[in-house]
Amino acid sequence: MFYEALLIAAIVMALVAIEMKDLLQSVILLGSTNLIIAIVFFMLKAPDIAITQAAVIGGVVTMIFVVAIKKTERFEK
Amino acid sequence: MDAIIRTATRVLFPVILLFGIYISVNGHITPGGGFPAGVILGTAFLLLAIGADETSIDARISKKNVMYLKGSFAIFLLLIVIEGYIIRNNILKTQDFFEIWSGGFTFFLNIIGGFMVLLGILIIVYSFIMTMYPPREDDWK
Repeated sequence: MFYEALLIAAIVMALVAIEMKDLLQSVILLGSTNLIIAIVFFMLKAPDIAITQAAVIGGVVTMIFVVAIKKTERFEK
Repeated sequence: MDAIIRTATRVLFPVILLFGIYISVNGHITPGGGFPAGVILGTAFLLLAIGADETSIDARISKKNVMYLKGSFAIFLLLIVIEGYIIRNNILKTQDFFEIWSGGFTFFLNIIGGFMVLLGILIIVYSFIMTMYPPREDDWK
């Protein structure tokens, strides 16, 4: 039950991240989605993949997105 | 940047650094290893760079020195592998669970691999953060 709830939350967060007009909030929602996916990996007994997912997607990719948004525009037209 | 971000990154930096070193050192007996450890260490420096301004980043990270350091680490890695292959005649020994001096050469391979990934991430971070500032003449030599 907890597993399905996590997956549904990840899907809902991804859909909201697509629809969001503020791109910074969208990036934060994307990071949360990937954190939930990391927890799901951990529940599926793959802690190695969970650590890599949380570190790469949550840290480096989010930061690159933030720098790209800072270079361009924050709000979608 | 913001005082809140600067203070928070300075508090978080040693904790993240310690976690990365822990994953790197225990890479052969627990989940993790060289690549996640290097990415976590790189994230710590990335947080520092987000909170800092241009001149202090330039003083801390010199792109040329990072490249030289990465090359020397690669040579060191190659020497360790050659030493294990020729002299000891094995690279990957069998390991006992939760016994830190039991993995043979994988212990050193994980540490050096972690540092190489860290330096690669540092180069990416430097390039991306420095695009926020106006370009100078001695860039990208």
